[in-house]
Amino acid sequence: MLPPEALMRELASVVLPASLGPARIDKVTADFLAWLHDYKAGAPMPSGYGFPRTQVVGPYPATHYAEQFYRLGLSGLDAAGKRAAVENALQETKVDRVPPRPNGQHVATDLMAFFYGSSDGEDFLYGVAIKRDDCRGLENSGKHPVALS
Amino acid sequence: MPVYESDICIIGAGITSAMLAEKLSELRPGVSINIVEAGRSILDLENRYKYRERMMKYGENPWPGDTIEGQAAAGGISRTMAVGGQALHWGGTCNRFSEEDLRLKSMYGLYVDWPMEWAELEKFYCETERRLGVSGEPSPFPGDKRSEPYPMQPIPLTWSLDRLREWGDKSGILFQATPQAKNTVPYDGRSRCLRCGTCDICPTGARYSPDFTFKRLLAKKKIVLHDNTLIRKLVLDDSKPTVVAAQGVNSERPQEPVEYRAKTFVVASGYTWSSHLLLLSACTRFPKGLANRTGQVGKYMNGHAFIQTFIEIDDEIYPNMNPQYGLISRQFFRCKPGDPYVRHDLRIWEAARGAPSVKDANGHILLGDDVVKDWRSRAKRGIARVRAYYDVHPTENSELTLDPSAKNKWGDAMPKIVHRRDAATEARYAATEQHIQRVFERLASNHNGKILRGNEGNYLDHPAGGCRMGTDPAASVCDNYGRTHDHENLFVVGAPTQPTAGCTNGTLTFVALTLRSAGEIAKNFRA
Repeated sequence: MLPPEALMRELASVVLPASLGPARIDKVTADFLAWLHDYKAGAPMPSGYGFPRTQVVGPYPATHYAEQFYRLGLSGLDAAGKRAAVENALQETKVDRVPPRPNGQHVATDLMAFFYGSSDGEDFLYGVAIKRDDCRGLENSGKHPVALS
Repeated sequence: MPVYESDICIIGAGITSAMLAEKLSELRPGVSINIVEAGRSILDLENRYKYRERMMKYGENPWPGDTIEGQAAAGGISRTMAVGGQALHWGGTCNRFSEEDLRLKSMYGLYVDWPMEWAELEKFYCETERRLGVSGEPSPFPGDKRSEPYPMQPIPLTWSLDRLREWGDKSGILFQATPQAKNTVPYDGRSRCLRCGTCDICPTGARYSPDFTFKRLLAKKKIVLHDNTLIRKLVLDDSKPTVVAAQGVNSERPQEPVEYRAKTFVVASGYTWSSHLLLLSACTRFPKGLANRTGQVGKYMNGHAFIQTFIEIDDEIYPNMNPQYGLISRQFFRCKPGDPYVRHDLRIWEAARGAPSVKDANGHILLGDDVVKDWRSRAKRGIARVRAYYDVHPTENSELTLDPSAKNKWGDAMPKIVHRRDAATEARYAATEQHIQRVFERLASNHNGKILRGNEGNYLDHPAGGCRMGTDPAASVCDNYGRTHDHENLFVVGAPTQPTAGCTNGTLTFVALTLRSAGEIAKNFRA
């Protein structure tokens, strides 16, 4: 079951960069929930060149989110309290790096993985518009990617 | 039992099959051609954007249903069985081999020479580049002289690749854009590249894939395509060593075997399933398998080894600007006779700067903008991915065999591939590895480069072999047209016929060999 959007927004306000601005943070949150909604555990992964074994998409990441949210107890906490709760939870998970895709280890790192693993997240890190998911044409490929304001 | 008759029966529907059928239909327009493919047809260009989106979002297979359950090879590096074959997933790289690959014995005293002159192969390289639609730029090395220009201008280098080329050239190693089967202008009814970055499923069709050729041939009624039909055995004439039938089973009507009868049979089933079918076709007169009187089927399986590293440099390099495009240097394709033998290509791609951290150096949790700040403090420099594919040569027992312990649902033993390198290759390994590391160090000596981490491939890439071509039936399966020594109407085409895999991607080469075979096969039919 998907977690309530309000709860996910509370988490997003802690783990995503505030410099994204509230509107973009809300959009990332909504996009993450939509991504979870359309997730197909067990769907075949590429078996073409260089993939000798059939592999499948991993288990549904959100299975333990409700429990994780319960343990975080974000509702009613002020900003500092929320941050402390997430920090404590992540210390326990022993995750050092943001995973390449959400993997169910913790909802906080999954939300970060969803954002930083996206085309928008990559552009945000590099500070330029690479726009890797777009079909960008060949014309401007030799130019420096446009800096994000 | 349903029986289908044709002049030519092609087994397999990958890139070699597509090119062969197209050329045969041009050379002999009246000839009837049945193409039999074990997997399903995936001809829906209109759905590619949808497949691409699922791949990008979730990592799902962009070619749904391109495998057959239980039909797998131990030691193989692909499971794809579908109309289009592995070339559905292909990145589109179209490098040529060099003359040295064909003259290993006469120039270096190593392994064998190919039974073919370079000038002959070069003609068919040009034809292949025209048919696939290859964009590229001329090599800076005189030994790579071409008799025709590339059909299209090269794909422009991205900002990052431009920086990386400048960096590479500073070390005195000359790089060029890798030739690609991707359109830089509308070509052959397909659109130009839009730099979508997902060449393994090109949503626009700018990257060649065999489904385009099959669709065209089907529309013109030049071929009859029988998909979902696994050929399990080739059958000989009762009195002559000629093949009269290919017998198989259609997955939708599994209780009813099906038979294909033809004047000429062509096995175009790739480096795994070609040898496999010949071995499965053993009979009283050929107890080791068809085309296998001298026991050469499945032998000399080959490929090339590779060493890869990541180099950090003072340069503004962004990833994913055109992720399946890169640079190649052909500087090390040639080795002076008498010098220690080492031949390899050298490739550079743009690379990402690593994932953000959740903890700082002191183990404190990072959240919000601190994650970005920390990442930017560590990721100020650009990263290049550098790889060298180097030439290795197989022993005779580098082979594909039938594994009786692994059977498909029809009870056929599945193939097992074990690659083995010959003594000369093993003996020069340390020197090869040292040479390549020195090349990496040479690159890193510019732009304040630092070699980060490296790895060596634990498999042979761009595999080939198993039905080696040659003039001596005791040491080969077929002649240089792919005609098997034992059966005048049975041909093998594509990667299985290659004696070696050179030191760069093989697709252009095995398609060129196939187009050459097409001319010979056509001679069996009146113009």
